[in-house]
Amino acid sequence: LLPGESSHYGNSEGGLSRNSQDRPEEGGRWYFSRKEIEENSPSRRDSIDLKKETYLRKSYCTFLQDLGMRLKVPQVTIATAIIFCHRFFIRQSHAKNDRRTIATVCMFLAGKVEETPRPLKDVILVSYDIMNKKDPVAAQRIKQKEVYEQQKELILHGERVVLATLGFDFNVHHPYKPLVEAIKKFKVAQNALAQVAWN
Amino acid sequence: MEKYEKLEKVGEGTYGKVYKAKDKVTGQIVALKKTRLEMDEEGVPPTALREVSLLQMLSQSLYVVRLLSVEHVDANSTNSNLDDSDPSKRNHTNNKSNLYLVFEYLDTDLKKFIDSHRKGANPRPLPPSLIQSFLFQLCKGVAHCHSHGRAFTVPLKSYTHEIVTLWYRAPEVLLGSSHYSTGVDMWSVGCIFAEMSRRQALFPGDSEFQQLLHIFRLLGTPTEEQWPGVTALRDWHVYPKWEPQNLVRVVPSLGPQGVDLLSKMLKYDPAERISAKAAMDHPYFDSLDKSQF
Repeated sequence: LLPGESSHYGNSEGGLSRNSQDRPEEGGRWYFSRKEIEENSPSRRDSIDLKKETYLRKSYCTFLQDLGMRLKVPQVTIATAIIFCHRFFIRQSHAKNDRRTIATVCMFLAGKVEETPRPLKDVILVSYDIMNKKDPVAAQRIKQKEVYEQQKELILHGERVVLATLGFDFNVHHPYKPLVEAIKKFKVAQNALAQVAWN
Repeated sequence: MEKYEKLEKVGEGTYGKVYKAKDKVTGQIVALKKTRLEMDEEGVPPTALREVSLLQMLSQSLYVVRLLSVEHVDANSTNSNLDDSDPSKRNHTNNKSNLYLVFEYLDTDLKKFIDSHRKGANPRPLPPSLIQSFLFQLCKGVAHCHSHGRAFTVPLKSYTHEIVTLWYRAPEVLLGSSHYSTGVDMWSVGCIFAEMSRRQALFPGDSEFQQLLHIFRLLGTPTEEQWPGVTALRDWHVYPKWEPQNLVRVVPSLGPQGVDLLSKMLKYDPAERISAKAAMDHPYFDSLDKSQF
């Protein structure tokens, strides 16, 4: 299962309505109905259709998994970065925000939030390398000081945009630990299920 | 920040200033806590991220001051359009910016409330039922913090020494322990409990050393027997050996159940100290109508 496929929080029957004026239940402001996600996303208003957005979602998830592994951060940090990215694009359009820039910012942030920080320089270099992996010549450009500085400014500005969009809410409840506990408790398909769930 | 009209400065600390302000659109009165953000090479400091994130989570309890929103503003810029992601309108990366935490505004606080009963035209004790009600709500807020605080990160590193206002600081912190836990808050709750009854601070030390002596003079100098490991703490020295005093002498109006609860909050060994949740079930609260909370 690709992380991107698990991003449908809530479901069509979900009774949680969103009202930004009301005080949300803990984390409740990040639950959306299928309809909200699939039909009313900000990207949809910019004429990006569901198929295209689904592709973009998978794309940034793959990117983040790759980036995280190459930065050697724990899987939880990668998962947190992915959730931050999902949260961002439920409020902002793909038409106005480059997904890989936003994803890079989310990884940088997730590192800090999960207490597994990676230096901004490393995040930028690895991210740039992945973005330009089909073009080795382009990938070399990051070694120029002005290209690096430009990229750095982009990411630092992006951090502020992401923080404002997420409303500084970094509380993420991952299913991994409860799942592993449930598997232990109910003694079902122990290794196989845990393995599949983690991957 | 043009959304808010600053009315007056209501406080100032090492962290920055607090203003009373009005939301220009809704008219809502809020408290703005301004924190200077030292942006370095690594962007927004993780400490700031952690603080805001925890506040978000903790302020979901009715018994914790409510955080309404967070605004991140360039110190020398009037542009507060944070959603603007158009690179052409981008400010240059700024290393000076302010984080405004927007809180619900509260007319008073416990300190001012106690002062109003101690000084002025009509000094009088706080009614026992009010102390009981306040303490219960305090425990409820603290219990919420203790059950949610750890969801964010598991503390890996040891903590800093510089926490909590001196008068309310637990002995393990004063003695240099770096692996303290939720018990430090219960110590503070105990100090506040006594202060409501006395209308003056229980341990008003003016230095860390004096603070410890205040504590030892009332509760007795701790022993290894009472508190295993105490003499191994970093800042332990040989102190005069005081005998424990009877708590009733410092909180005569609290009643036997109140004194019993207080003694459980002021246990030397943090492992023995009562938790916020257990405190809520203490007989001291038996006469309280808990359904209202």
